[in-house]
Amino acid sequence: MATATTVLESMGKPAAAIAYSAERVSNSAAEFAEVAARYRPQIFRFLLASLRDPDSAETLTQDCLLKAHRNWASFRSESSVMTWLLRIAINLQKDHWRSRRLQFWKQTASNSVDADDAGNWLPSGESSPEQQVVAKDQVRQVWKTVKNLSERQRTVFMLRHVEEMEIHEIAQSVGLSEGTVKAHLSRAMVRVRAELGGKR
Amino acid sequence: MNPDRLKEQAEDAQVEAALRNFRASIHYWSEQEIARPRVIERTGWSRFQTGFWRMIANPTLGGALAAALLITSVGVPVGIHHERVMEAARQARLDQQKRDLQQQLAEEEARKSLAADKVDDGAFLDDVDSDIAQATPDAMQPLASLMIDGPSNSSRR
Repeated sequence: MATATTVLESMGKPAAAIAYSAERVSNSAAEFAEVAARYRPQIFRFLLASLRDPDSAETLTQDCLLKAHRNWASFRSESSVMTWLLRIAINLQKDHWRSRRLQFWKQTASNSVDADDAGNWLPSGESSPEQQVVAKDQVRQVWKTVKNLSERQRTVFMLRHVEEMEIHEIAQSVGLSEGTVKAHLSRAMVRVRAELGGKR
Repeated sequence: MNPDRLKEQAEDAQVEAALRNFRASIHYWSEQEIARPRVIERTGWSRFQTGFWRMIANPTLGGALAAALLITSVGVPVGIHHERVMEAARQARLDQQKRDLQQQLAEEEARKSLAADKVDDGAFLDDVDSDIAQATPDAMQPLASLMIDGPSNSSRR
């Protein structure tokens, strides 16, 4: 550190400014580490729900945090950290789908979980076995509908009903107007209702 | 209460319950997955790569390998250069021998040609002499003797 200070001083930078800068970098790194630890599960969850592939979700979560780390200095707090991180995750997810579509002829190993199997994940809780069966069936139906939604509708639906985000937060994350978000959400809900109603 | 309204409320409750279960399901799944240790499947190639780098990291083996690499990288070009120099010298020697031999042959040829020329000239002159001797009739012999005597005789006259 002393050597670096000497070098920078010789370049005409005052020692106080250098010390402040180093402290800021150190604070920034610590700050980001805290942010990453706090939001990583949420980013992973969103990506897992969107991709239904744990390995891809893990990889994209790492990519998202790496990208965020690189751009952490330019984050201006105009939106919440979570909104900003989700925006990065959504873009990475789009790139992921695009590359998957382009490489569809390649024999890529995919650990994607089928929508029917995804419905099996339910906390046991205190509900009765009958309630568990009903709940699993409902989850399977929602998954079935979500699977057939457009990419944008699915993203909006997941952010609203899995991450429980407000409309304005979703709009910021997806980069759409609140009206468009509401429209996508409404269309998605109509299909979910139809699926659940039709099964009755 | 209006039966339609009741039906709607029941439907809403059902949808809400389904979405709640859906959310709980994803949260639970995500928690399980994030806590699960990831296993990286290693292929034969990746095993070889890992083994190779592990071997390099060993100081003794790595040092020996580095020395072998250094010797090979320096020794091989030097050897090739030496081989080329030797080849060039051998070729130059062969060329010189070839030139010497050609020169000797040329000299020999010239000597032979000179000797043959001398022999031919003598024989030719003999032939001419004999031809002249045969061609001159006896009646002209006195004139022929005058010609042999040359201009000194005529100037005297």
